Amino acid sequence: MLGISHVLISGTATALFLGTAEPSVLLTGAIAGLLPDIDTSLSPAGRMFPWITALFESRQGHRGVSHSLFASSLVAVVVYTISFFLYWFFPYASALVIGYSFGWFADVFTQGGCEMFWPSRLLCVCPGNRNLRLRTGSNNEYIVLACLIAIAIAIFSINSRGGLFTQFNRLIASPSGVIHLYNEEGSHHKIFVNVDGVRSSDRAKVDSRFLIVQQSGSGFIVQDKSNKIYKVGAEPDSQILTERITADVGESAVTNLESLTLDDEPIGESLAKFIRSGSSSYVTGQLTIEDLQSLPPPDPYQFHSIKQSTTTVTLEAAPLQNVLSLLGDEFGKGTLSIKTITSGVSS
Amino acid sequence: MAQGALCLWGEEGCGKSVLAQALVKNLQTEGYLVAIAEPATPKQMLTSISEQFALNPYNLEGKALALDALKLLVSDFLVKTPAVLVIDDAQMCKPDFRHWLKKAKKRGGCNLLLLATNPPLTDIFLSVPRIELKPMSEKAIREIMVNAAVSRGIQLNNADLSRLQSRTGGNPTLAIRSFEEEYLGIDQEAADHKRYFDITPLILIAGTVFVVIRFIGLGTSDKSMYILGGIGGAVFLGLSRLIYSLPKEGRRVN
Repeated sequence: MLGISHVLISGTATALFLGTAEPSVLLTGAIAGLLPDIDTSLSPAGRMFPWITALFESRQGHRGVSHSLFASSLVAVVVYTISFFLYWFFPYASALVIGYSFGWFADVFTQGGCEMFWPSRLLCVCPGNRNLRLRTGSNNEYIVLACLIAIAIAIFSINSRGGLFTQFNRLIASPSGVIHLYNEEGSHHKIFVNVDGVRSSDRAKVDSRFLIVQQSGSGFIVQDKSNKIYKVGAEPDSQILTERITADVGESAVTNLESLTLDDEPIGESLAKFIRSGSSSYVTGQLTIEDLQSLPPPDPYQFHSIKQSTTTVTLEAAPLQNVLSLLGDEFGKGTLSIKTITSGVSS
Repeated sequence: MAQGALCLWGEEGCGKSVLAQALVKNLQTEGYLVAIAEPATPKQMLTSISEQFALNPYNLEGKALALDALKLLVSDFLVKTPAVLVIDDAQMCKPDFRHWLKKAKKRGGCNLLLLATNPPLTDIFLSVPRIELKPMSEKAIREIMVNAAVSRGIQLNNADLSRLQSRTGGNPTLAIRSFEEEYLGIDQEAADHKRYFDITPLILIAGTVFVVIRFIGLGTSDKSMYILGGIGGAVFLGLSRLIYSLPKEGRRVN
């Protein structure tokens, strides 16, 4: 098999298995694909390490021990031992092992095969009919090479946009995909959802982008550009029923959760310290307020983040500004948790 | 091998005939009576054997003995005389001759060496101990190739020898053939030895990983994992049908 084929196969396999688009890691994997051919001086690896190649060539045929599971295991032991001491080396170690293994495994599809189960001298091939296997430098190999280039570009593109699962989740637009991305990136990035659905109240079409505030049941509490809060999902209490939902990773942001206990204290004064520039805060909890006057009726199209029942107010992901404007002058008793999403800060 | 029989078997070109000839030469040097026969009609083989044992295959009238008389002549001789009978390519002998060999062995006193390529598990091959002539070591093959190069006055470096050696599969005949192909400028990559092992089923078994992923996706309510696993499994299933429907390699050169 041509050197370029080995480079492409190993580079593609590294990208696929490690789910990375980091050029240095991919390059390591791709170059590692050339290493099994160290047993012949006609290969780039053989020309780079002539003294090792001479040792192989004087003792065995091409595609022997260096093209085996044994050699891959040996490489894995060496590189992972190094990465045990140098933690930054770990992705490169994985790239080396994957690249090396796929470097020789590709030869299984050639006419000559390779001694995959060395020290057994069996030459492993696929398929069994030699006429259907690749011949080095043949037209068929160039066709395979063209396909490999297309696959490599596709995988590189997928990885650079969040990886295979992220892209697939976008494709099928399922809530589980959004949950997956939210769990993975939500702690250090803002997560936006693109919702395609209908309003549950009047079945008006919705096709908008929202910021996820938090997960609620199998749906999400989200905020739009005008700071309105909705619950999106398939549950009956959702304001927006989703047909398609995909997620995007937004700018860097840190999410903090703080608690606050009030014992008949002024709510506005106690919550004022959570007003910070560049951050959005959401209050959840329950407060008992004596002599509470009726709150204005909630917007029927929005999520009821502030619910009143006689002297008790229940808050769920209520924007801090809304809480301050409605309850700022009251005295309350209870425990609150304040979730703050601060933009432009990386954890 | 005294008062016994042995079958040496191996793939074609693994060196059985060369070994037999060397053995015959060695035994003759040590003073043993040895006859070697190659597949032909039973009568031709028995005539050749009787001639090598210095038996007279003709009757008093000077006519060639009939087949049954020849069989009796040789088997009687083998019972009375400590001689060695070597049959090369024994799997190609006629069943009639193989049956006679079996009977001669039963009568005792017959020192028999059979050399065969993948012998059938019947008659004489079933009743004699077998030893497989394994493919030769890399070192021995390299030595054969170097000698072949020297005998043709050609100098090959280790890189060329290593490349050619990968086509031999431990088979000395193929070692010399690969060398001759190189000498004639014939570019070959695949070889005719029997060391190839088709790992297609192993690769297809890897497809079960997708089925496992599908069940994990089902268990964890991860829709994308479930769908991807399902798609992967289905692709592997289709692929396996495709691969198994590919034409098998013929036993003839094409």
